[in-house]
Amino acid sequence: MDNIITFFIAVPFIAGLLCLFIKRPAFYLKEAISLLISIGMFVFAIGLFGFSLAIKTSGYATELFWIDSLSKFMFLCITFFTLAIIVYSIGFMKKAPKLNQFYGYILLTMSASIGAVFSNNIILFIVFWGFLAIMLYLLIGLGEHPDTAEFAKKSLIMVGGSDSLLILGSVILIFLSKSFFFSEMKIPLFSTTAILGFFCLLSAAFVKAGVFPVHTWIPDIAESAPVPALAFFPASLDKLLGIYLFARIYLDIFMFNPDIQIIICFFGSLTIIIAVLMALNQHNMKKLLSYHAVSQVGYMVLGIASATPIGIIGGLFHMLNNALYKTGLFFGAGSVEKQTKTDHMDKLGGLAKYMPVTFFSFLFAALAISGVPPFNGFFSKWFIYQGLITEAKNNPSFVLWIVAAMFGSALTLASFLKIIHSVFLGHSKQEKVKDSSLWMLVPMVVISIICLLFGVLWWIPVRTFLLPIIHTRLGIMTILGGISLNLGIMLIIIALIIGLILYLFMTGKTFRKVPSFIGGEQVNPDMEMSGTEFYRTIEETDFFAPLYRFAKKKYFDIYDIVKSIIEYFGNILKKVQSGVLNTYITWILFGVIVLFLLFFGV
Amino acid sequence: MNLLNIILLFIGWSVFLVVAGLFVLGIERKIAARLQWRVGPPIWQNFTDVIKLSGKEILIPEKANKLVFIIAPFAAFLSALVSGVIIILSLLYGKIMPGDLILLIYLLTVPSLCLFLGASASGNILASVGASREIKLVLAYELPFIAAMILVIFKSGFSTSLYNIIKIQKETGINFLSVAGFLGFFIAFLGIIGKLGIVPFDIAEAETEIAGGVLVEYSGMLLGFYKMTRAILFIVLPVLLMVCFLGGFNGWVGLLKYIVIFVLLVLIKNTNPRVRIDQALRFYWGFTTIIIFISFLFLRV
Repeated sequence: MDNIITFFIAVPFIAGLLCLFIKRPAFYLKEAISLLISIGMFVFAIGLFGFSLAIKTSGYATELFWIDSLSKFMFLCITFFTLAIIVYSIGFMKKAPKLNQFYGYILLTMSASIGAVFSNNIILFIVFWGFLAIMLYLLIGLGEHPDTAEFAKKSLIMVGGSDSLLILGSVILIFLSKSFFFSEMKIPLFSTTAILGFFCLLSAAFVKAGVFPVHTWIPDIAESAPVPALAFFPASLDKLLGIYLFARIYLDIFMFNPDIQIIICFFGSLTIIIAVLMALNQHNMKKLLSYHAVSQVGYMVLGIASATPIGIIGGLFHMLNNALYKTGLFFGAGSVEKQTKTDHMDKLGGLAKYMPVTFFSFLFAALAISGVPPFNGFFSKWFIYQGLITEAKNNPSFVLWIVAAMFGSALTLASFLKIIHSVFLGHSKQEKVKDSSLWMLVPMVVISIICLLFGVLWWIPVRTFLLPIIHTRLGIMTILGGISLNLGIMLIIIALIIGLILYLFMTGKTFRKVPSFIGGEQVNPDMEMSGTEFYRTIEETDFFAPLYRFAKKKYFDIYDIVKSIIEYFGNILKKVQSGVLNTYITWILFGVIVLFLLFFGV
Repeated sequence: MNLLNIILLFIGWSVFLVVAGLFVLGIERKIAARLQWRVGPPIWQNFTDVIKLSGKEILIPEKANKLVFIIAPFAAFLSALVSGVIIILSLLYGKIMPGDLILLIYLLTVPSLCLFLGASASGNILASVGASREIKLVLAYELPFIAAMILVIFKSGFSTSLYNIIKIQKETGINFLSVAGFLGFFIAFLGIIGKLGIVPFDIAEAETEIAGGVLVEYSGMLLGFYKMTRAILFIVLPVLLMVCFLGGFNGWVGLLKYIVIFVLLVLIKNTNPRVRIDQALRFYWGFTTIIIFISFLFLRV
């Protein structure tokens, strides 16, 4: 099997290097190579998944690689999202500069992520993980915004810094378990060393996934990076990998500790609430979406941290769902940006008429992320709540996490309604535009349909992808018996069909177009209410006003806090370096005297 | 229970919900009129209204997004129906659906979501003011309401199905009679006032300031759907409250419980002025939320 996995890693790697060297834009060669490779890898992933389903192996571990249901599932996800993003990029990145680098990096990233999810050897894992950080930096750097370089640097520092913690944590892992292999590790999480190692690894996972307070690189790159890179990294791949690492260390490598669980749940629910509150007052579409890319991680963290079978299923299902609809949302935002040349919500409006396909796929994804039944987001959240409620029997503090998660869902709905109102509905503020090209529409539509299907037919992804993961860990087969919502879904479907029939009856009627009624007054543009100002009231309430003030001063940005600390000490040290030769000589003389006294005087 | 059975049950109970809801709204108008020393319309006035609306032509604003504008009232109506039927199935037919309380919490926000989408699609300025208020009101009451529902879940042995919640109350006494349950009922009742959008929280419609707000552009049967949604919610939400805190809907006693909640709602509606949206936010996120979290401390009492 090692050879097969090596092949899976090597093929996109070589293709990526090849793409880097094709500088000529002719014949769509890079696009063709990336498309073929990603389709091929996706087919391989399905093959690997189907193959091992047939022989029902619970796991396969060698010195290099570890194939189990979790890593196979991740492999499938990675290849699917890479495929979707490459198809979308063919439309979006048309005639963009440095295309060879773009496709090259995407393929290299794919190769490194496949390596990361399959590696069993810690050293190998660190190599792949570090490589991913560099790829992230390079891909973000392809943006054309004036701040691109600064924010790319910030993300490299944050992700790279977490990589050093990962290395430290891995050293502790090796020290504790006397082994280099993930599959052999099972460490009790009670000694100080083990907890230190756990938090080192955890911070690496959380920076990648974007959990509060180490999420700040994600909103910052949102404005500057190219949209496919955003859909690729913060929306899908980093979530998959970060949550993968979190699930591995929390469920497999370390044993369960209830105190650690509370800490993780606390950060999970804080992530949900704070990120979504930040999203409420954004004016930039992509930045708003990126705050949601952060807040949704909280649900996954809560689900997996609950350590109940239903909760873990929910967390992993939410990871898949989130990658789906978040990719769809970024695709929609990119489509709007491509056609209107702006991503500022104040300048947009009424686009639903001109871009109906984009609008409806965006609407589906937005409903899915807000957890409106029967979309997929509802079901994964539902699993997570069930998991949290089950765990609340042992731990009453869970009431806070449940309320935070459910209220966060309402806030998510609110912020997406804001985006839908101010971009797609409401008044049009720009001239007529056309809908995007087919290359961009197809992935969007496919993803939004999958969002609906994974909701209505939720048991299909749960049975195929997620139950094997739980099964090999906890050996529980019958959990699906307790979680059946089928009657509820059936009612919803019946209602939808009846609604359709009613609607067809209605369309026989006459509609008359009339001007809108504004109390009999003439409308002038000043009177129009911009959707971006919807939640001013919330910003100004006593509860949240301080929060927004702190956020504006960047008190929540750990990067800026560390930066100011370093600058403070730097300034003190700078005073020593005055540049006056006499002072230096005096100090040197003083030092020499002290040394003499130390070694010879006493 | 096969598919045909469920379809028939759904349609039958939907008709019941609509008729009963409109009837209850008729009584509500009558009581309101009496409180104001008027005679008021006849009790069947709401039926007449809806039947007449169904015959009227439908006006669509020029700037509107037609599809969303038309679909929104349907979706609101259907989601209210589904939530009503789910409650009835577990109340009367003993259907055990694990987690249907969470499904209900989500389904019951869909009417507000649809009001928002429809208003936003109409392209009217007054409607967008109303829509913004509507969604802020949702945010305001959802926090205490969700917490009250979680309280019920905790109180009934961590069960999330309505059937089990009723069953446990039958065994150990209704939730209302414990300290936590009483406070929870009080808060959930306040949440329901917001959900129904009646005075003092009819901020999103506010006829006297923004001419009906979210509903300003709706006419004909589309307006009729919203009226029926409101009517169904007038049945569904008090019954949900009864299931969660008062031990379900059993016979004449159940009807009496419903009437008590209903009269309370009508009295509050007719004796209070409309509040501003920031006052509503402060009310729900301040006082109400604090009380519901305090009531969690009495959970074991």
